[in-house]
Amino acid sequence: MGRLCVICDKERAIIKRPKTGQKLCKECFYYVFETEIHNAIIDNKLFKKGDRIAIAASGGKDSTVLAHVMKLLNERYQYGLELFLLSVDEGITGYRDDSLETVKRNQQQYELPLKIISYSELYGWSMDQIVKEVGLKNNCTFCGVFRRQALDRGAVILNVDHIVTGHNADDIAETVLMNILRGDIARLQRCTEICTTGDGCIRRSKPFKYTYEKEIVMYAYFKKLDYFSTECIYSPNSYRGHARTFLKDLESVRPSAIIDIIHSGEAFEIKKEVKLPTQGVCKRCGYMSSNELCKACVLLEGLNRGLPK
Amino acid sequence: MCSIQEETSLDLNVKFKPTTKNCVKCKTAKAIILIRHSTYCKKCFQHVFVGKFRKNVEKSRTASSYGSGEKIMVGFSGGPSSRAMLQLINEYNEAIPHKRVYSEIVVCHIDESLLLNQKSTIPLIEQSVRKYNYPFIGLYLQDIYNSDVTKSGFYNSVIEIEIDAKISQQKDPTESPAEKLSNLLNNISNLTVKEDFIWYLKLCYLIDTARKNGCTRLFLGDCSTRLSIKIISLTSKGRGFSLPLETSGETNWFEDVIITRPMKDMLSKEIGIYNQFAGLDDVYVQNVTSMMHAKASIERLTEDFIVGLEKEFPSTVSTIARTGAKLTPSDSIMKENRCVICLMPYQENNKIWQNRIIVMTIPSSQQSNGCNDIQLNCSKNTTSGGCINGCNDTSNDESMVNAEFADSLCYACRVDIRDIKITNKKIILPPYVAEGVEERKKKINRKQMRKHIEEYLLCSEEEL
Repeated sequence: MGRLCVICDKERAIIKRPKTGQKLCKECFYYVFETEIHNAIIDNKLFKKGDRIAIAASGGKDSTVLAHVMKLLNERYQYGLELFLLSVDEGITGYRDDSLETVKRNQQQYELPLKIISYSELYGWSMDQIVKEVGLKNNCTFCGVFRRQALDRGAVILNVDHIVTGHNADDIAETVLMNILRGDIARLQRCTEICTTGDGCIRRSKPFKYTYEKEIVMYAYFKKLDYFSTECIYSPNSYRGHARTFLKDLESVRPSAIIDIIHSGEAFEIKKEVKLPTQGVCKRCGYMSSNELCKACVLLEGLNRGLPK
Repeated sequence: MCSIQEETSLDLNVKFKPTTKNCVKCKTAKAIILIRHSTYCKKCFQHVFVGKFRKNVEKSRTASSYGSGEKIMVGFSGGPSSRAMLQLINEYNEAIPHKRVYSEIVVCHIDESLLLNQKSTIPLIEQSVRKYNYPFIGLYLQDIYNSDVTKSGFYNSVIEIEIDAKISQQKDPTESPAEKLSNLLNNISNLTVKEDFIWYLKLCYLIDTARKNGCTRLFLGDCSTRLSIKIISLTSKGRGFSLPLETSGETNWFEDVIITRPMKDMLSKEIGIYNQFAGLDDVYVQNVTSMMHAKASIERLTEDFIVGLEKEFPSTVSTIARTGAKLTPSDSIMKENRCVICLMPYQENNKIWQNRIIVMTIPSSQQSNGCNDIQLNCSKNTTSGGCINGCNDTSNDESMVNAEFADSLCYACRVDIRDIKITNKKIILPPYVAEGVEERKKKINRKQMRKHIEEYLLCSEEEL
């Protein structure tokens, strides 16, 4: 009892840091947590002075902490960024409507302008309606594909240069594993990039790329940040579920495994003779796409024809 | 026979019930084997199986500059896959007796019985390969500590890591090789690290033995099931940079000894069936995580995960193996940047990468080193640590050696060393590691010398 923090050697250690196993006091934890994110931003030159940045906010833990940390670092290191909150309303009763309330509270706490963009206004379909139509089998495909575009369209409306999302190290490590398991070589190479830019599209980046999910929860817990923590009522993808469980097991065997996977992912190089899909633009909506029509347009066409696939 | 039919019918009932019960290849004989989604009769199965092996060895033969008459070494653990491999190599080489593909075949087995305090596996193994009449080399893993298992053939210094994390280069201490190895492994409680060490010591020993016996090629029996497990576990251990070298069908990373994996396209199930048909008995060799729970080590956990997933989704293994085969060693790999423990390439600047994303200290706090929980750390009272985790300190000799050692490791071996908790005296790393550290030091010295006199040199380094 009464062990001192290994960094400052003054305060009592109250946490064991998930990433390193170090026993730290609260203040030192905040410091390393925030500094690692700052390092990721600076080393990768994510922003430049005067950039208008939309924070993709779902009301969940990642985006709530992201909004908090972005505002804090922007002031502490004078990035000179103009920050906005951008939320997507998928139209899921009992899930998104509640979490959007959290986003609205965040908006007031952090004093950031908020824009909510909904599936029904963009596509004419809410997720509730889509599930009614296609059932619970591949509804997550619809949601995922639509959200990506919805964020970009929201960003255009807000006239921002850049979207930051709350994807954390666990998400990225899991995606690396998933792409190996699925054999998706093109995504395997892309998924560890901290910042992606489509042709003429808005830049997207993940400041939490190296941040552990557990530490995000820890940070929110000690800072008493207000977030919404319910799983989506529509069931998650089972294959990804296996990868997630495996990753959690790996983390418990060796906590650095998450970072180690990302390190591996960054080192992967693909043989030159392997054909990768070329990225073009969708003929219908102009959004980036590797086929003639983008996935969203294909899905939407199916929905409108009443022939979901 | 009976067990195979059982296995087959079991699989048939589980998920994929094929509509046809005839062999998918000859279309006439009754199928008795199900591999993924296809059914085979015995004859066609064997034909396809042998064909996969031949395709792989022939590919490597045409690529090889030795043509025919190559002397090769077969790494033989005694497990099902190496057992099948030896049989296939034999059949392949004896097919046309007067025109043998390989001039000489040496079988090499490394005995790890010391790790579990068991009887030596060498007599059993020797007996099981006797019928081929190939020269047999039985080695004990602990003999990796002999001064002749080095590049120079007589290097007798070792690396010592003491309980206070002091790393030093020492003249070979007097303990026996067996004592040194058991002391090393007893000090490694973390099974992930232990398995890593055992594997790389074995690999280094195999390569060294092949080289000294004049073999230009080393056959390893990794099957596709094993390789897909390796692809995931290497990724999880941060070995992505060297993964293509460690899982590919063929690599010349060890220059004069090419590693070939002719079994890379066979599932472990296929190998089991083949062995049963051919009446080949394997030797059960226990390893450090045998019969342990899934979370014993990363390797063990991955095996559990992949084997389980393969049952539910029968194309898991082949998809992973195919993904792995699309990866290539990076152009930035440099031959001289070889980790002194695993001998795999390391990336420049990976230490800096690590320090930026894992912040362990606050710059303003003077006396802290932030690595107290980690054994291999720098001494206290320094402004920043020269420890294995990469705090950059060159303020005293001791941490200088530590930093030098850390610099000669790859990312994953550094993670391994971090996870070693020395509880008993000290650990001793074999002479080949010490030799590697010294070689690297010499190279850096020469580079500095060159820089010093650069303006007076009229030729490039290669010309000298």
